[in-house]
Amino acid sequence: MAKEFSRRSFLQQSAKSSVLALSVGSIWAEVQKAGSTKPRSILSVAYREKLRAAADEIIPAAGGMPAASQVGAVSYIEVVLAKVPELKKQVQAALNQLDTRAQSLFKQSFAKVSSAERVELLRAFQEQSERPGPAGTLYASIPTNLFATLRDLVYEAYYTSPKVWPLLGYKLYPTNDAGPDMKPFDDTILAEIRKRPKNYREVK
Amino acid sequence: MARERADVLVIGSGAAGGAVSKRLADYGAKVVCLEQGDWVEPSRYPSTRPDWEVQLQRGPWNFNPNVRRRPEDYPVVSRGSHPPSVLMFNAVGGSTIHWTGHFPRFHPSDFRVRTLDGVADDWPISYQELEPYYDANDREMGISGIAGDPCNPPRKGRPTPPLPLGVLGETIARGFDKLGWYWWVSDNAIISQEYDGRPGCTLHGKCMLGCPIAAKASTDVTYWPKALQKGTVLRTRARVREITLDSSGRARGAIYYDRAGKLHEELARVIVVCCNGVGTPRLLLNSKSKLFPNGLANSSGLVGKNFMLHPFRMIEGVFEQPMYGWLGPFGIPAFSQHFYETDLSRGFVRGYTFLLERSFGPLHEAWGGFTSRPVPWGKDHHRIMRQRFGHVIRVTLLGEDLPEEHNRVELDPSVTDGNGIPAPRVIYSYSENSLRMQEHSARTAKQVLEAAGAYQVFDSGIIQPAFHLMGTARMGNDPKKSVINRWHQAHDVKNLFIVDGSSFVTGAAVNPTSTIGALALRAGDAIWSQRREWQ
Repeated sequence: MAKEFSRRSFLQQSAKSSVLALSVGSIWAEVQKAGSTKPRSILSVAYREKLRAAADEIIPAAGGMPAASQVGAVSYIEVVLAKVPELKKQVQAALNQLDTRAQSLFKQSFAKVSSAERVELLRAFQEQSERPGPAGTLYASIPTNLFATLRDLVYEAYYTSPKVWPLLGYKLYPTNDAGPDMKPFDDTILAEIRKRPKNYREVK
Repeated sequence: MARERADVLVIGSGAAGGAVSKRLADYGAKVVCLEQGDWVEPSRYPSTRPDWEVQLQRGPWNFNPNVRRRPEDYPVVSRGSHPPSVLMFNAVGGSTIHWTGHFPRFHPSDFRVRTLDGVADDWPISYQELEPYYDANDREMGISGIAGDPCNPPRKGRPTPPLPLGVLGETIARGFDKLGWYWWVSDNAIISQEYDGRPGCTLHGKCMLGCPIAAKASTDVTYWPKALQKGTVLRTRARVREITLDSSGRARGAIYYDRAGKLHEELARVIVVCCNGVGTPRLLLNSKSKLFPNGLANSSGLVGKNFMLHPFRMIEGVFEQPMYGWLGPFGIPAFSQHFYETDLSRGFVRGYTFLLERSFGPLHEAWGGFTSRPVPWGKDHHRIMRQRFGHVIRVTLLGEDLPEEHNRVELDPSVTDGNGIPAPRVIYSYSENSLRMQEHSARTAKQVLEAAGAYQVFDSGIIQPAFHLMGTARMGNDPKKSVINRWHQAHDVKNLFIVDGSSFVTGAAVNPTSTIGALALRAGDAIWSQRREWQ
């Protein structure tokens, strides 16, 4: 069902979008400027550790590819959260859900449990997020798919990273730069189809 | 404070507004255009930046005004069994800023739907009548492509040769050839060589986020520079609230808010509305008066009714070999109209086009591509990402939507834009015919992808992105069954013309921009030919 919009919320969101417009292109530049290992003040140390733990289970190191945190994903996400307060609330809510469940099942913070336990917790969180539970359950108050918000932010941080692109064989080709080489169109590919009869209705 | 009267006031500067303004300026008319958006500085297009894919998800370049939320945007409320995601852009150039550039024409049969297939209505004009205007619009916009498509009437040589098909285009073409199905190289409003002072495409892709070098035709770089040179006045950030009438019931002018929120009235002898299939009925319905208590030019009650979009369904095939779908211009490399004309044995009337499309970059693929199937997280993430990224070909259904009065645009009673003007509320449900067409296309798309070598196929299922907004102020000969006549002139108000997708009687199964531009040039000629009746 489409979300209801009010004039007030529309204008408020317009203001947020304008802020993002001015800043989103420079997120990696900001991360680089601060240094990817320098703690930022957007999230507390505890939240940052939980975010790092979740990010590295969502995109772990494997097959020659680095883990999310190794390309600076946590710092990137923090910069985004500083610019979009609504996202910050959602990410914190997601991390709180994971931590509550970790404390309940394993008597430890999400950041301290084993990798296998973190995967189990994330899996359960994903299932619950995609299928909100009835009132009174742990996940009843989740306003949107918080797992998807968290996962998509980690993906965003990872796949906008110029460190990752060459590992995938991807090149950006920004439109103000030289473009790629592509084989020019060769019309011999149309030779057979040119022989076919017309396939439209004539109308006088 | 009213200004001196213009000959023609055009409201909206997109595909239609740009074309009709330039046409009339060429004849010597004094034209003023009001556009609610701004000029977009090409250097600000996100296609020049590494975060360009983020703009697909959030921020001021999103295709959906409800997500984008720029000050010049207005909210769109969606309802119905299949509430559409209405996509548009508000700027000089309108939605041509972020369109793909695919530039097909209607078929001759599209103008005779009732006569040939017994559904919907015939247009009051024919393909032959519009053909010279298609040619003229091609010349103005700049096209790449190649003549000879057996699914379309013969047409003149294209202004520039086809863009590269790429591995993706050649691979899916082999699939069609294997099945003996028709396909052809797409006409794109993306020039492959220097043309009319604009440079040829340099194959960067990302075309839907704006082309900074102006190889893709958007009317801010095609029609508008020439219209301005001819003396047309273009006022930006001018949001029209209503069209006013004089005591004789003729359109007098338009009241608009400037960027500071101050009200003005622009007077003109003739008014041309070009605000798209949602914005146009919104403006007409908001222009109430004693003479037109249900909205301007609405004695038929059809303003806002018969809203059409094109049924879309996206089918993606995954291939062992890399397809490099992220390389090359995003405009459609090729298309198929094998299933275009009616064949009732398929279980539905009318038909569809397959658009054979490229893809975005790694982030979009990880998020789920065009079929909402995010790459799984965790230990298999990298393996599956490598299997998919750059290995996907997308076949998109673009089907014909038939007009139905219950699909409509109204004014929302509570939601407004930043100036307090009521927002449009779009109510839409797919017909059984459209749903059967979608199911058929899902099967045939899978068939051709597998024929081309795909080992895995993903299906978006039923979706309703409303890129193409049509039918809400339809053309016709009978004032009781239509809003405008064959010359785009309102039946009720003789100096009011409606020239955009809202004028469509039926939507055909092709992207509409080429037809909107051709109709706008034809309407410009009609308006000029009546100049002695201007008062």
